Amino acid sequence: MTRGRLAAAVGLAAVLYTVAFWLVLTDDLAERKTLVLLVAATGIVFTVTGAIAAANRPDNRTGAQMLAVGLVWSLGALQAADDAVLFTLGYALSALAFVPFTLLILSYPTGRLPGRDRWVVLAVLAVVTLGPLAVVLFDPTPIANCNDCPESAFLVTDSTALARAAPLAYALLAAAVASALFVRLVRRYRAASPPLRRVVGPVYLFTLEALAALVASGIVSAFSESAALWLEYVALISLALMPLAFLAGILRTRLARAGIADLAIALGNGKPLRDALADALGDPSLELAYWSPQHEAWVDEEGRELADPIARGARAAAFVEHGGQRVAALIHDRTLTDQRGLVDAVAATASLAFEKERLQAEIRAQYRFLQTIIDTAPSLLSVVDTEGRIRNFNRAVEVASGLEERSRIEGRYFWEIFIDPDERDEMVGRFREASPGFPPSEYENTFTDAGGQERVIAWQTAPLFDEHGNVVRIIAGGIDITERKRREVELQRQWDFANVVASTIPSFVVVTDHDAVIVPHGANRAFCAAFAWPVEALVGSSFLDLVAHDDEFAARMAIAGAANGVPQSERESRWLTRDGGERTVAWTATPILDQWGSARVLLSGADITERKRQEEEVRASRTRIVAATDAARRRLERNLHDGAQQRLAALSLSLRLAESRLTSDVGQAAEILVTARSELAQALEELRELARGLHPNVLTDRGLGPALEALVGRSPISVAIDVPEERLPPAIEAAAYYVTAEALTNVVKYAGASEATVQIAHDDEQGAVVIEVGDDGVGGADPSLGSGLEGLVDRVETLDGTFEISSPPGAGTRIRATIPVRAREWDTAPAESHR
Amino acid sequence: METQPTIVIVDDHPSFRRCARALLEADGFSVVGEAEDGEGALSVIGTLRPDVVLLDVQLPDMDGFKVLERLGDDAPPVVLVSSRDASDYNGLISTSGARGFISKAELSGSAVRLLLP
Repeated sequence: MTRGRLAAAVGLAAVLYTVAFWLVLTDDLAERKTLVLLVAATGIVFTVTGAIAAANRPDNRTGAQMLAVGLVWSLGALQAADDAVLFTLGYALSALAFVPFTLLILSYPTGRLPGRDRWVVLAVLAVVTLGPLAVVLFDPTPIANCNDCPESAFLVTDSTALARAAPLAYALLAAAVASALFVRLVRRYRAASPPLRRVVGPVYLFTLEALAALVASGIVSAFSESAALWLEYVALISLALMPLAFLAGILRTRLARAGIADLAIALGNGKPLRDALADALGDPSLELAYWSPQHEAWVDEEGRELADPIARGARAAAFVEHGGQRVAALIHDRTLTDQRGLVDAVAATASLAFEKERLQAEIRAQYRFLQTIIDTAPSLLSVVDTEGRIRNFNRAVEVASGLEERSRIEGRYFWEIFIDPDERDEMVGRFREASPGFPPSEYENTFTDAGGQERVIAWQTAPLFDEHGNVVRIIAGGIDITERKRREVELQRQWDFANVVASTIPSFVVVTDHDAVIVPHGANRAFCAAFAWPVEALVGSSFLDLVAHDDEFAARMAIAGAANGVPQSERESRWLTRDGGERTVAWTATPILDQWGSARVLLSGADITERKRQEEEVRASRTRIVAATDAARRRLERNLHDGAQQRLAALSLSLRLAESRLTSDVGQAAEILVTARSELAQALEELRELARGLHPNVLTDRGLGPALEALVGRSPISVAIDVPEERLPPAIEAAAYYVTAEALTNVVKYAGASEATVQIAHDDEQGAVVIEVGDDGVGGADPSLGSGLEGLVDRVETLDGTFEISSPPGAGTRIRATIPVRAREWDTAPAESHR
Repeated sequence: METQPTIVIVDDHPSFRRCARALLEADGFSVVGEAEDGEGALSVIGTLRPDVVLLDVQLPDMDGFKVLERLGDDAPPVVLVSSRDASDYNGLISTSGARGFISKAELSGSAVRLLLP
């Protein structure tokens, strides 16, 4: 309401009430004068308080509505006029003030009428216009029992029935509308928040009281004139007091502003911010929210996250800014919405406190966050004082120690809880050495946890200082590394095992990268020893440099294949020793991962040089045996051809010649026959000699001793023999016979000896037969020079035997052949001799 | 009187040479020379130019086929002898240039004569 309008309204009111009082005071109203004066005074109270309210809260319509009630109220004073028309008009308009009154009540305290309440105002309008109109039209005495009152000037009929019915209907309708308003106000009160109740309570109370009194007055007027009059007084007094209630509610902002000074004092005295603000705003339900930039969320005083204050339906929020930043929100009752100025003033007064509280809330939020992290962290965290006593700790400490009560941990020495007794003294010593600086340190120790399980903890400590730089606390953080330690030990064990295996196996182990470069520790002991390489010389060099040139390409391909993940089958290559020698190695290349997960190629090989040599020897020996056999056959065939065969051919010719001379020259025939007999005898001898050379029959029938006796009997040199009498397995006897025979042949052919010795013995301990043949010849025999000894070696080795020769030049030759005799061979030994 | 054909006996076995000489002379051959090896045979044959040569296949220094080869095209007829069977020498005999082959046990003057032209 503008000031001009307010002034006009006040002026109009002054005129109206001046007229009203003039009418009341100049008229003889007898006993009704007091009542009428009271009515007029009530109107004036409404007018004056309305004007005050409108002047102070021009933004709120309540003042204007009160002023309207006061102005319209004054029309009722016309009832005091002696003039019938004015009186009747006054009566007809007397209740019209209840329209703005109803509007005022239902609009309070915002000044805006809720849409759903409009029907109440319209109903009141209908009743207070039609009701009195009906009365003045049909009842000659609108005010009952008023002896001084003029009759109705607008009477249209003198029907007694209508005259009685009209006031009654008006009273009933008024009572109905009043009841409806009554119910409406009760419901609104019950639905109101505490601050709203505090504002509307007195107004509703006076209204209900006035309405009740008026309705009761209408009802009891039929029975008791005086009681009705008193009830009217009550109603009027209630109505007259109502504007004060309105004014109190309307002006509470002004009163509250005075409380802002108290707010500042209260905050200065350390009163909690929320309580101080609640008091200042008169809203005990006030809540505060603080903006946490770190969390980008609204939090309460304790740092707990809140829903967005704007999104709270039943409550309103006012935001507090500091330094251009939104720092807090006041979540208040919606009744304070129309007092934005007050809220803002309160917020501004408390903005510093808000900022402080906000920072505290944020710190609390951070603290809560850290607390959550610390308590949920699996690490052991404890704070000890400079004496080593535990002063604070997290949940993990409680769990690990098994001491679930904080009091059982607090104050205990750190090492009593976390260090096993055998490590405790060392820990105490270390702690005391660190005093007083307690520099950051790391160490590991074991302790037995609540479950009796030994745990390894890696500790890190750091000092906390006071403002003077003195250490006041030490933070100790521990991580359970038991499992890690166990795995480390396990891995180390596996690694050691693999290393021991790799370093002790006779096989060669070389590990390279995909370019065939040998990695650190990539060559085992066997390799280094066999090839005379110091391991440090190999690291970083190419394995291919250690392979003979002809085999390098194949080795390169094998390593490349394995580097591509394809295991390579065994192959043979010549690997080079440091001094340039070669060794034949059968090796494979396999893709592997080393202990750090890097792809490597494992070369695993075995030295087959000796095996190859032996194989070569066996091959050569077999070739020689075959050659010797072929030569023997050729010799036999030649011997037969040159010997017996020629003699028999000649014999055939001689016999044919003798036959042809039998008749012509008997003497010549006889001569030819004599020559033929001699030829035949020689042929037989040669055949016998041949047969003996193939296999001496005596050996089979009589054994080694007699066979060798016969052999040496035909020898041109003297041979002394020492042979066991018992029979040996046939294969052994044959081997011993031929070894001896060939040895003696060699003696005769090459040694230039005059005598020889043959010694054959069965060595039970060795399970072998030992043949020794010695001579007194020139010595210097060399098996590699093909002096017949090669054949002997082959023969002995065929039977898995060994052959040794000692032949110093000028000191004779001694051969020693050892032929193993297997148990099963004895089964084949002849039990007795046969001829 | 018919002239006796001349023959040279080549064999490294003296007993065979002696028996062969007696048998062939008895059968009407005139044994004009003997040789005990290949070189000796080439020398004797070149010198004596016999009507026929009795040549042992197996000689110490070279075999009978080699001797035939060395004798060349103007060689006298050669009859190979051996204590082995002819089949032991497979086709060598037919391509050697010899007139034929006689087993030593089957040797006789008539057998040699059958092979001469």
